[in-house]
Amino acid sequence: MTAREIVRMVLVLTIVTGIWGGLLSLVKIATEDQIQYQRITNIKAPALKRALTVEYDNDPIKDRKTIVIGTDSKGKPIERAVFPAKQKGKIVAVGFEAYGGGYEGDIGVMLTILVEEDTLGSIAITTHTETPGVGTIAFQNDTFMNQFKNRSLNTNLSPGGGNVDAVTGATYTSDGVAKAVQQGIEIYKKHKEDIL
Amino acid sequence: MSRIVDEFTKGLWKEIPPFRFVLGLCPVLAVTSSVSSALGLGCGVIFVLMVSNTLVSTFRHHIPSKIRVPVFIVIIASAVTIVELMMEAYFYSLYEVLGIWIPLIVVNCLILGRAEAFARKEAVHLAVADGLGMGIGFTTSLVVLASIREVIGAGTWFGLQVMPKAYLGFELFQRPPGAFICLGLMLAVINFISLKTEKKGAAC
Repeated sequence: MTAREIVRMVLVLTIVTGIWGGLLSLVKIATEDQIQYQRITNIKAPALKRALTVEYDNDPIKDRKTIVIGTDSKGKPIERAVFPAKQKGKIVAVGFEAYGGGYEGDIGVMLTILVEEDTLGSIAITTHTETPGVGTIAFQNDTFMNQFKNRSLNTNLSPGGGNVDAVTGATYTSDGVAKAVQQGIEIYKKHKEDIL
Repeated sequence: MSRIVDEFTKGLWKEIPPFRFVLGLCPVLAVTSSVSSALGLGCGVIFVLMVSNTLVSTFRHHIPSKIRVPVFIVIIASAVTIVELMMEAYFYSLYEVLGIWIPLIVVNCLILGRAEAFARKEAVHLAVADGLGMGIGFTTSLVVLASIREVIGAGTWFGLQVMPKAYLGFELFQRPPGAFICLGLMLAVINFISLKTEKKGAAC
């Protein structure tokens, strides 16, 4: 193998991967808004509907706003969409997503908070990569999912806090959900003014 | 001109991919429980096959043969990613049904096989004809297999009720074992037909 050949191979591979990388990022930029829209209508909206336990007369998806909840390791702001549910123009509940590490990556939980009562409303799962039939039994367990309903925001709901019963056989998944809920509560407490 | 037609039509019967080469069977078995998902995956495969065949053939003189496989895979994987993004953006329900099978098009032997066996040796117009023919052949096989499985298994076709309401469905055909049985029977039928036709006329 001559040096010329090696240089040629390196060059060809670099050019091919470079061109495709650029092209892919263009496609990604072009489809980003549409994908965002699809995710909101197909995943977040149904979850929000399930998690909103109060009466409301607006369209929370349409009235959503974006808040900044901190910065990531590169210093870029982390944004989160907040969905307000209003009754006669007054916000009665807000819904937003929070994430907690389960057995296999993050579990997305849509949680709602009742503004007047200052308690949790309810929760619903949005995205997850848990093992079907093993971890996912936690999501189908009504006793587990319902224990978050109407809990006070001052209760420690994180795993090991003693206030959440995990589902047998799906401990990591249960912990992930609890972590996500606790994180959501903390986001709400910290950014209450931005959210409302 | 006749060469183009030849390369195109060979993918439709003489070398119809899943039955003659028995390549890329994993998605074939997995997505054919309903006609719509079979058609969706088939269209994705046609697109990827066209892109990879065209590009591999266009640059066949510039790709050093020692690194041809990585170059092919980069081309195929990028085309698949485009399909995945497009599907998520514009056909979300299909994207949800196909799930993991869209990224797995990358490792579908059919596509790499066509790049390796055909496109890297032949001119662009022939490679395009080959890709289109093979892609349509692959999609047709998927749709036929899915039609049999969906009609017998669930009593519907493309989601529409075709069997009488009283038909309860034959669950086995919706499950993986049913896919194997169905594929085996289709292979047998196709081999039987080609055996007959070869005996009758001069072998092609």
